[in-house]
Amino acid sequence: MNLGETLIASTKEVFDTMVMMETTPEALPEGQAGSISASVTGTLGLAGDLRGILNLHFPDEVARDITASLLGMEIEELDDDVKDAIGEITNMVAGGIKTALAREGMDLELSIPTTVAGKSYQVNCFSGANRVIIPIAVPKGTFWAELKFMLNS
Amino acid sequence: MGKKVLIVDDSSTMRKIVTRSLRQAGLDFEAILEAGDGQEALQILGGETVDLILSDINMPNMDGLTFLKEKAANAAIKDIPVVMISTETGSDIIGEAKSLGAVGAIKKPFTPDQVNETIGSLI
Amino acid sequence: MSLTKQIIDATTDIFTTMVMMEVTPGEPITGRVNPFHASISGMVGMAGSHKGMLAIHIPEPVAMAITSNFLGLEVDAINEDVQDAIGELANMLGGNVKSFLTETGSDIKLSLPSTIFGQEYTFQCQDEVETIVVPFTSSDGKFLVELRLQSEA
Repeated sequence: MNLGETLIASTKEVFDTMVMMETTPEALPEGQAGSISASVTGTLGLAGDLRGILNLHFPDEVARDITASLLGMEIEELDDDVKDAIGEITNMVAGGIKTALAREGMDLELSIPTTVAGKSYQVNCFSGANRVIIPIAVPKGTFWAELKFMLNS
Repeated sequence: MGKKVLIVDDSSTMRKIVTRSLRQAGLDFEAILEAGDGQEALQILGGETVDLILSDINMPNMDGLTFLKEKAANAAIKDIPVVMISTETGSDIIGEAKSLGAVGAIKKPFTPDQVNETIGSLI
Repeated sequence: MSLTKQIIDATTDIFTTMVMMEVTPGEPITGRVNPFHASISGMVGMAGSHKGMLAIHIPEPVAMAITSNFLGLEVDAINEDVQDAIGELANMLGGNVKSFLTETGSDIKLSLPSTIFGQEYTFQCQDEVETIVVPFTSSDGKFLVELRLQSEA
């Protein structure tokens, strides 16, 4: 079971269907494991056979473009519509991961999505956890899909 | 005469997404009504006639399955077709919804085409 | 016991024992508490019979004082020690609320904790979830504990 692939597949499914936007996963440049520059992050906790956090980090313009497509509306600024949309997308990507892991016999429960937004913030997880991070290109730029997790034995 | 649809989901964002998908599926509704849970849906149905109901399953106050039960017990509204829209993929939950009267289900995430396929023939 | 009282008891208990800091609860806050400035938020997701999230929002100086007490070392910046300490605090608070809810027959699991910090950020969930925000005062400053809980119908 490759969590990176599961993360990419679930993100792609949500973007293909609901956002109707092409996504292209990219390789993480060497040594760039640390910093991500984002204006809005959707975050959701996972519990059960896997304990983890799913984070989707978006720059301002990308978040607005995605929201406009998802809701079928004009989006002028990073407002509550964008934050709610990012939360909803995070929820659906987590749902896809849950379904995929269920097929592998792993039971996962989801918490509720939270959206963090700001000009400069960092999101970190317990330093002992495993981490998968994938930059994903879309028309207006790149966003990052990140999964931090520990497996329950 | 135009058709009316009622969207039942606790997420206002999801209700906007469904509205957008209906439009892109080429389904023309005279009015799109919204409810945040099964209870609110029943209240709205007490005063409005709708031709189709799209409902989530997991909602506070009254969930989708309980809503189906309540609706089935109400002669005035029991025959309005209900399609479930949910992340629940378990065939047992969808099976239960169908046994309670739902005529179909759309799994999130979905495309406008999928919406059209499931709903198009109902209106 | 109400959830508000449970939050107050859990926070007071953990701060008195593990952080060795006296804290005094204030009246629960209704209305917006965002955005946060020069702060750090620890959060943990809850999943299962109740979906939700517990977060603790702490201004930087208070977070550093808490970490110093908690870990028994001096800190002068929001470094990894502070992030782990605040994440652990959120984890313990979440664990306490989980135990309380489990006694009443709920089945709740916790995700991994995470922390968000920065000079200015907003932190929000979709409105349709029950929210309790309790402010606390300590000799080093104030902080907030936020619980969001969605119960299955």
